[in-house]
Amino acid sequence: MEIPSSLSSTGGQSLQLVVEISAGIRQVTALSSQVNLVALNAMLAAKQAGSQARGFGIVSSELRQFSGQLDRQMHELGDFIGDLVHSVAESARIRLHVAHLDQIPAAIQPRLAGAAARIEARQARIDSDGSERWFGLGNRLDHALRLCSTGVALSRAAKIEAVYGQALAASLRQVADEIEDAIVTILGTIKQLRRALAHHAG
Amino acid sequence: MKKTTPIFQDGAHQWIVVARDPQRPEYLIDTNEYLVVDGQRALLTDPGGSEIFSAVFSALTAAVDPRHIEALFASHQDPDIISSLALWLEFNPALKCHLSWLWSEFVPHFGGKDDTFIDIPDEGSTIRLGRLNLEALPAHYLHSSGNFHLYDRKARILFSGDVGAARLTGDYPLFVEDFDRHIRQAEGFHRRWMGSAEAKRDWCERVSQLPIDMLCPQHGAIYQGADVMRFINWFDELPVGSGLRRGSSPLHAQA
Repeated sequence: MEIPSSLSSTGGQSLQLVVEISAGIRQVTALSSQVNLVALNAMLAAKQAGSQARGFGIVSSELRQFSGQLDRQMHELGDFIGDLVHSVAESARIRLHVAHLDQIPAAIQPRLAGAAARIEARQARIDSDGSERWFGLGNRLDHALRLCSTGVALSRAAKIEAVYGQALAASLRQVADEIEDAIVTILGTIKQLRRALAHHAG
Repeated sequence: MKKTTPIFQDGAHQWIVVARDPQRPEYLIDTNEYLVVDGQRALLTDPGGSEIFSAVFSALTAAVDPRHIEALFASHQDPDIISSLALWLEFNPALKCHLSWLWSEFVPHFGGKDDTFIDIPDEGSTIRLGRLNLEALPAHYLHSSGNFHLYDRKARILFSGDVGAARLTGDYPLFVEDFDRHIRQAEGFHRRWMGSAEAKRDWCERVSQLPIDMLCPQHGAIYQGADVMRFINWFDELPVGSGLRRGSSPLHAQA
């Protein structure tokens, strides 16, 4: 199926962005699980290797904590997106009501002034809630970006620690590279989502 | 938020149910939506009312890409079936809606234009979705006068709209676990909402000939395995159009 390249309305564009962000969250969650699994295996390998891989084991453990934190953040972001969709849908519904009211002949419209005012007030409230939620989404993505920077630093530390792994150095280095690749991809994905959000706001 | 649960998968061919909204206001009946997927193409059955659009959309978005939804299937014209149409079209103006020809001038009151609707003739039709041929099976007067179910012969799944529905409360399971207990919660609904014994008998005869692993209603729990035929036999025996005789209040019919 061809995905429509341009959606006609603000509501449509907002929902399109929500879909993009949700796809990003799914991708990040999958990569984060991969980091968790690889780091767990690395911890076990480091334990078997003994004292020369102790540093690598500690960093791997921290990487697992990073993965857990990222998972929680993505889960919260998913819930937050549910609220955001609610705002977008409500706003779209109100705009449909307004469009229907606008079709009423001008001569009759004063009789509906009360209804129009109530709808307008509701629209203002929903749009204000919606703006806050979009802003909140930006903050959450920024938070995830900061966490990912920590993840990148940890993955680099793992590469350094791998050097001290003596006989296991090559395989530990391979594991560290795999983790770094995953975290850099996560970082890239979240940056892309942040840019899309900024573009939407602009 | 509602949850999505895959109920069938064979390669790129999937059925996913969107069900159970714990945040749903008490005054709205709970609904099940089913997403039929073939690779990058998807069809959503009875997408629901406008009040629950955000719950359905959020749940779908968390699991799949809703941009792959190219069509909606509306079993009939009720608000809990298709009043979210305008919002779905807001998301994708190119969406098509398969619907009985009988309602083609009524449902546009919920949204959509001429080219949104694909009329289903009374005798039914085949709806193509990627490599799948989904069959719109006539189920008129069960309960609407222009009513269709959707059969996926490959998956052996029948989406049965309001037939098989039960008004359940609390955190109930996705699949029927105890048929005898469950069917008591479906009885009042079928007695009142199903208006034609003749249509019911005809439906039971036709559907009993089909291989069906899952019978998926729009409300309540899914029947699977032997419970499918148990349900068809039960429905065949049930006197319908008799809900009023059971009690004076509509609540009796909904029990």
